[in-house]
Amino acid sequence: MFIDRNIQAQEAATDSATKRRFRSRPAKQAVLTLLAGFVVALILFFLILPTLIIIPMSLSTTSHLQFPPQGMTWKWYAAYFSDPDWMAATWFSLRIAIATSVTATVVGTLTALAIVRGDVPFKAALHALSLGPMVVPHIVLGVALYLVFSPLQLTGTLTGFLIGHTVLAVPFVVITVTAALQRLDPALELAALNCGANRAKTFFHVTLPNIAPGVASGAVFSFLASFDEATVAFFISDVGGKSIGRKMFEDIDFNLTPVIAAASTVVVVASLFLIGFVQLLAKTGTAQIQAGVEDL
Amino acid sequence: MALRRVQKTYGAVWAVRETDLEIEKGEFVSIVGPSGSGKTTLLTMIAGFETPTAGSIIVGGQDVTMLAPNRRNIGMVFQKYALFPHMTVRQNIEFPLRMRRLARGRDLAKRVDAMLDLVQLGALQHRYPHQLSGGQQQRVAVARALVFDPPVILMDEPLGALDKKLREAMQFEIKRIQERIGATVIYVTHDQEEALTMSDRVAVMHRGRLEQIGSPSDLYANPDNAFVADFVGSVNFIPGTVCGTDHLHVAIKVGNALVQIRSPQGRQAHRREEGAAVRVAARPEHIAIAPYRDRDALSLSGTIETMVFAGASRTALVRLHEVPELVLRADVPSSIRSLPDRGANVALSFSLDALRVFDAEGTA
Amino acid sequence: MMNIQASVQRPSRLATITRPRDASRFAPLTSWLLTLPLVATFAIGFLYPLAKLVTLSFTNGAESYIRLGQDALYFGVMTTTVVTAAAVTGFCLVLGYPVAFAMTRLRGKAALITAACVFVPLWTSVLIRSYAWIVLLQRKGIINDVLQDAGLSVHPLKLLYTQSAVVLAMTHILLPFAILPIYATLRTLPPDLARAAANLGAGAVRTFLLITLPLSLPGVFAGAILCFVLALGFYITPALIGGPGSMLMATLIGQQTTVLLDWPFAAALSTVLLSDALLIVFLFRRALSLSKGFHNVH
Repeated sequence: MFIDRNIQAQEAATDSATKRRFRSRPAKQAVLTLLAGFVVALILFFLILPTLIIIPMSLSTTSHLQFPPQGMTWKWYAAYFSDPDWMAATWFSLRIAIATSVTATVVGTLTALAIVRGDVPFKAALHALSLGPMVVPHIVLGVALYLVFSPLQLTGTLTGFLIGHTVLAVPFVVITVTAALQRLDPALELAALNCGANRAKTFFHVTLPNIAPGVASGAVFSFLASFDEATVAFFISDVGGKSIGRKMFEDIDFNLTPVIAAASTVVVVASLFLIGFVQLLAKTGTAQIQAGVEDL
Repeated sequence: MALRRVQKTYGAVWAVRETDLEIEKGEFVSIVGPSGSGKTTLLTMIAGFETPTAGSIIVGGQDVTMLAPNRRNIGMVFQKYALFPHMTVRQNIEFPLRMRRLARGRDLAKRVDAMLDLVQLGALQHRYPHQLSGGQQQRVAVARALVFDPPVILMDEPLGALDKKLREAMQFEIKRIQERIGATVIYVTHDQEEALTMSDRVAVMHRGRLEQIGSPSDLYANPDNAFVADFVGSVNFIPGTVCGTDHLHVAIKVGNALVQIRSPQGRQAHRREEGAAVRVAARPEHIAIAPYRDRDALSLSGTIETMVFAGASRTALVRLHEVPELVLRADVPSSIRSLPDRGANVALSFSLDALRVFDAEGTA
Repeated sequence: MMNIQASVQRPSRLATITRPRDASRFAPLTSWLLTLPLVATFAIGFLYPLAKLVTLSFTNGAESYIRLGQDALYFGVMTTTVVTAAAVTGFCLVLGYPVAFAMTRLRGKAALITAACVFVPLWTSVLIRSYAWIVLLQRKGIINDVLQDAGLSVHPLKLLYTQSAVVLAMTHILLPFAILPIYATLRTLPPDLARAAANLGAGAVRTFLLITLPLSLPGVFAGAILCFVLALGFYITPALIGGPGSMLMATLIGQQTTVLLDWPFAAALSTVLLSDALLIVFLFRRALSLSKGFHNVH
């Protein structure tokens, strides 16, 4: 996620080595590199094209995307923002995602603390359990949650979604916070204790500020995990409470219009902004700490 | 402060064997030993990061053995300083005062200012640790440990991360600060030279055992055992057999030669028995080199293999004729004229008072 | 020696759980309390529902499973699922390796663009990416337009709602999951190794085949398992892009629950899918933990 500086330096070294070898075998090497570059460029195009294609689609005047595009229009965006069904689904998902982000971050951070600094037997099992939802097929979990929620009338409710999505999002928080905690020098916490801070103060004054980038990434990823989630949402939505994922799924299946492209573009742009913001935050944070470590 | 019969085991492994240690107020005591000797474990137990398996730790008359680290009044300078990276120099130094609620407002500012003055970092107080040099970070760590006037300050290899020149400068700096505020310091290091320069007393640890504690000169001149002799300063061990004793002297046979030493007293008295396998310990500066022709029949002799210039003295590596697998180090003052050359045969003589005798290897 | 023990205040039984064994860890009691929220959440939202699912699959004894085993249709679906997952995994590795390799070599702007091409799709929801493939592949979609303009086909081809479309879209969606573990392994290889090989006279191709590739196999393996397990349980993409002829386990479960409402049978299918995924993860857990890139995945 964050490219660390040592690796950049290493890569710079490899790079200059390749350059040196360039001179020794110019022709063959150049052809190979060019060919490889072309192949990689093709694959990258394959990777990014489908995400980019939704933008012209959302602006196209016809309901089928034509190439080259015939003029452009904002009408699908207008339709998205004025459709009460879309808006209801969007706000419902937003509320779910914010709530999920909060609960998953708290639960995941506490779990990561127990895994890294805790004194419990079966730590490996605890770790495995906390990552479990990543490997359980979402459709299985969706069906299972429906079985439990349906008789309790939790389908289509914020509570129902919150439980389901928290389970799905906790692994992301556990992963990012565990990594942040493992990078944290345990001596810092001992130093805080030695300075007279009790356990709670040590956590809030020393541990938390230093793992904040990891916690923040975890929070953002759990937000997105919830907001973008469609499979479990498909099963635990109902007519009264529909997430944007379920709404999109229905529309793609039954009512394929460029409104979907407009909604998708809004979601993708918003997600990228959110991630860019957190990356920036995390980068300045880790850069500070990394610089400190390197100076030692 | 005192340690009383403190011991620590991890499962079946001894980290620290029963250890007693008394430290006077204002004393600078170093704990030295190779890595894994238990010196850091001892320190972490005093700081309260680990609990001894048995024994008790007394600070200022109070038993703190089971007290949580944050309730102990002990300052600590960590190996890599452990400065809080998200706090400025000033905030780092304020931290213990805030956490211990020892001062607030004006009083707090005054105490922090005084500490910044003492470590000469007033100008850098708003910088973050990563913006400081290693030596400056070290001084922040010292200031943070001192600011709340703890009766005891622990330092865990505080200079380990610095280069040689800076290390030496910081040794004097730490010593100056310690003397000025009269703090009691327990200083852990693997560098015996550093310990000898800075300390009032030095404790040598080996395999979890406190081998000897004493003033630097005492330790150097009168090591209790071969390990201490070897670890503190450099020493040559010459294997031999006791072949005769009188009231004052012991004669030790090394090959065909004889070395006389003063009779060991007290604890080491058993080594006078005839036929006992022993090692004679001689520091390089206590070995004198004379031209081969001057030797008497019974003295040790050897061939110079190398001469190394070392400033005030030269170090000669001499291969013994009596024990050909042994190469001795002898320091020869550079002022002596007509130094023998490489390849020359020489006679060796020892300053009698400075030799020590220990059990042969493996019987320690 | 034993009587010394008496001189220490032995901690009471309460103290053994409220006091940390050493200061770098939490006390046992604190640690247990820290795990409590996870255990509670997962008990309600994860373990209990899955247990209920498994129980439901046995409502009529093993009847559902017998049906599953006897009907050739369901066996076909299972085979298709595994074959599809394997094909997707294979494509992901073949396409992912060059990208991962390029990521370790590229600098500056090119590196940034490559990273963007890998991460932006990853941060785009599966639903949106599946939708994008519909836009591309539909009868009046861009790909058909291009093919016709180029004179390669006269009539629009049926690209959507086919098994190939499902494999194509799933490969696209899972590709980053193959790239990242491979990249994570590749970037930990000391550059000295390749340089040493070159220095010893191996050409670029031989250096790659004899040194770099074998050393990056743990990452390849981790990426493969990750892709395979995720592909096994994929629902959204096959449901939207796949046709009626290309039924997979997940879409079959979807059909059983939403159309046929045969819950016990759907539960049995889910249980089979769940145990497959868990079995693979359990068998290859070492390979997965090898992949440091696992945490980069999202």
